[in-house]
Amino acid sequence: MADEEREAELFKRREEDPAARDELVEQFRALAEYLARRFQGRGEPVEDLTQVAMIGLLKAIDRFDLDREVKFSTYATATIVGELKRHFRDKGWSVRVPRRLQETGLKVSKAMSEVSQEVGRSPTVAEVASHTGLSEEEVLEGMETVHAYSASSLDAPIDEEGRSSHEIMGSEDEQIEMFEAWTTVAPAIQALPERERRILFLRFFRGLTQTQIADEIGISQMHVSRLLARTIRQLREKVRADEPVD
Amino acid sequence: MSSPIVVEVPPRPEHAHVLRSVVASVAARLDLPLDSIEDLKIAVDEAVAHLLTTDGTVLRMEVLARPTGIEVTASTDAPEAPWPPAGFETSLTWQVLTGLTDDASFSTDGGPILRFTKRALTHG
Repeated sequence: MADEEREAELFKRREEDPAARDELVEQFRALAEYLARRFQGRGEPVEDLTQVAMIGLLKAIDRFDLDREVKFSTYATATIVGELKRHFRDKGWSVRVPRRLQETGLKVSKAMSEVSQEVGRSPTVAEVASHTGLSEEEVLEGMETVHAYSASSLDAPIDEEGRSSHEIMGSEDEQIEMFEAWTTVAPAIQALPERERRILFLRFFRGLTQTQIADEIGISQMHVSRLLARTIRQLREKVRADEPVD
Repeated sequence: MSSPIVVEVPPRPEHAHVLRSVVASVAARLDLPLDSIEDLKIAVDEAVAHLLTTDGTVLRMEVLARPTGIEVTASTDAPEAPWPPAGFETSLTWQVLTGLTDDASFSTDGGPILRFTKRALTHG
């Protein structure tokens, strides 16, 4: 009871007294962190999710109306979850992916790395299907889902393990060769982040498969696939934008 | 040898996913590894993006499943125009198609045609 009174008192002072607001934040920080963790495993780092949840908490504190017949924790939970959901929507879950599909997607991406360890190459759909007990259609659906989200994790930094940029990108001659063959997009390629350039280079000039590139860079094959598709899409847009309009 | 699967869609970018899905599904039946399927999907996107610049009224794709792999033929009914366009061999489209597939070619038969294949895993 005393806690509730203290809480109500803090809410009354929150606008003019920053210390009261801070105390409320501290009091409900654990709730925000707990809710952030519930959204883990969807391709977003938990630190980012926690930050989003904290923004939700601040909004809840500022907007909470003491006259409402609802406990603050209930109101805050709804606001924080709303903020987290919006975050995923903004980050690329552009259409709401049904829960079943999200789960299929997670199962498929997990199975892909397991089977690929086993067989030493990228697995086939049939192999992933028999590993997961899903049908081949479901595996294909799941692959689409994996593509459908996590735009931001594509940009998460990767460990370069102190390699020189020559090892990463090939010799200067090879790079020049690459730019010559790709003259129409050479400036756009030069403007790409180093990792995207490296993936293009390894795929198109070294002829490595997506799986081999994944091993080389230390990310998953699906991640390579998404980066490759996105980079080519960006280059294509650049080419179209540069084309003279007739 | 099975007969080809033929899909026709209006020439609009939002229909590319239909063509991608058809190709992915056929490739899966042929036991192509997943990274090859992803390569194919990017190649389909690229071919479609290029063909959409050619003024056709329909976008047509033919998918042929062979024990050795998959053959994809994408075309439009665009009126006669220089094909391939000048500079095509250094274009992004051509680099992407030749880079991601095992064999790419272009031809014309009343309209522009892009064709590419991807080999199945050789077992044993």
